[in-house]
Amino acid sequence: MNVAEKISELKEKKAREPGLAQKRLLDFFDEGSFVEMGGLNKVANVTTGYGTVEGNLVFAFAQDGVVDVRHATKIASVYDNAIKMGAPVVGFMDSRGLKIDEGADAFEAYGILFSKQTDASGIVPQICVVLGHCLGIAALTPMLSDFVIMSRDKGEIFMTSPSTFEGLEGKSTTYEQLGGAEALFKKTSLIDLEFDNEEQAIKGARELVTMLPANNMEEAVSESSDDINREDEALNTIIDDSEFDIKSVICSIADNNKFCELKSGFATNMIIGFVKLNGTTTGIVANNGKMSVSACEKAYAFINICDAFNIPILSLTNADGYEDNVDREQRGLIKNSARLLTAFKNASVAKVNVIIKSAVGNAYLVMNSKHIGADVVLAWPCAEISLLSREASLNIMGISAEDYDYESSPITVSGKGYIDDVIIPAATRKRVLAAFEMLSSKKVAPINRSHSTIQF
Amino acid sequence: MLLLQFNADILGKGLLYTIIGFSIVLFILILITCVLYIFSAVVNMSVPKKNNEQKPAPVEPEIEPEIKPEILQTEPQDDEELIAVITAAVAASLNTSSDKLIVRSIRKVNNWKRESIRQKNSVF
Repeated sequence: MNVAEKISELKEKKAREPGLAQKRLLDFFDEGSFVEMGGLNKVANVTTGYGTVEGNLVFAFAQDGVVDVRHATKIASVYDNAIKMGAPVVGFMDSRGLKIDEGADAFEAYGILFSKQTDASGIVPQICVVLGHCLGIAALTPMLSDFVIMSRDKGEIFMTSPSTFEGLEGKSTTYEQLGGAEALFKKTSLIDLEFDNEEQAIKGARELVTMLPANNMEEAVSESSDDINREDEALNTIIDDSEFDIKSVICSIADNNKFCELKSGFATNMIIGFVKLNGTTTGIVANNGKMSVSACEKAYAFINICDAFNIPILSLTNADGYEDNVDREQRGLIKNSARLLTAFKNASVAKVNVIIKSAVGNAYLVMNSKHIGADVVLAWPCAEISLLSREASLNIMGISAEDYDYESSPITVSGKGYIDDVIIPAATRKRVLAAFEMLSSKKVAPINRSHSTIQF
Repeated sequence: MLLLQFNADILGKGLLYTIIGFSIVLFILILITCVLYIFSAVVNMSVPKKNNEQKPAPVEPEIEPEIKPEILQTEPQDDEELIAVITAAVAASLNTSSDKLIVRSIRKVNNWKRESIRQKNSVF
């Protein structure tokens, strides 16, 4: 075979229709930017490579069959490159899992993969897009990632098959109920974004990755087209609205009113997500009702990610205490509350808190208050900061309404130095932006220790 | 009679002094005009002379880099300030502004921040 023949043979190979995994990567990256690595290594059942998303370097892999040591080693090389280059990794999960006849080699395969994921955690952002099966041991891959995106039509994540439940415990459940996107999105905090189909999920992954910095040494800053002095008169009256929605406040503050909400199906009394503020990606942690176990869980994990990737945090406090009952107490309300407090306290990024209305008791204290290290705390004039709720203060403690109103007023509290300024709601965006602009060069001396023992 | 003659003398002298005074002032003014005219003529002559002489490269590049970066830097800032001022003015005239603060984008202090991130991520 001469050179010309070899070239034509290669051309023929390259001209073949791309497989499903390749198609997913081609859709994910900017048009024509995907460069496949190890493309001729077909036995690994995984397509790997790199490309650009809105011009930024991103590494990715897409599964295309069963997992074995070669499969894991090929993905591990993607992680090696991503850590070397300091670029995000996006994985598209769709595999039936390991070969049962592999024996102990299967453990080696997953060990390689999980070790790499653990090493990369907190260094480069990891996004896991579940487009098909992600079962058994493989289900740990999304859990070791920073963000999980799921497609509702085919995505499935579970550890133990429903048939096992039926066989062993006489329970009966469907795949959908156990590990379908909808069930997981509403009942657990595992899934960040859920989409109807694969196409939307891939688009969602693109949008999310553009909100994130490339690695733990970078900041996510881009050009902003929105006016930094924009005011919104609607906010002055919004609090009296019976259908008051904290999301409208978040959108009003955000650049171009755009809010990328995460885990929106789970614990709706706590809203988390990303916005751009003068072009800088900022994490939002906002109360939307009373504090609960799930709300704390949702918030502290998010704050932890923001802090790792130098993303400033804006919290909006509006919590009238805790959802208190025996069940919630026993599910670890106090422990989760402590974790939330630790997450805010340990975060060394810029932290701004806006007290919207209710700021009652412990819920106020753990929600990024001045007492636990918020850099700037602002309050709307309608804010109520008190140890007990209004009802409890008046009825149980016998405090007069006048005294309560005076003591809980943001002006009284700012007189004590716990609030930096009471602001006109309409000017929230510019006041928050002014604070973040000032805090943009914040430096905190780290504490010398291995790590805090209050684990997430 | 004597008194009259005396008065006429004084009047004549007064007139004489007045005329002399006026003429000195007028003369000095004309002189100043001439001096100024000469000055302007000298300045006008010296400027085209420099261009005509076409003193080569050394002079021009020295001036250009000094001026150009200033223009490049100030223009966007001016625009931003202009926009901010106009926005504030419009808001004030419409009586819609509820907060007098005009937020400016603060130039990022990069080295300080970078050091902060480095410290945070370094193993002690």
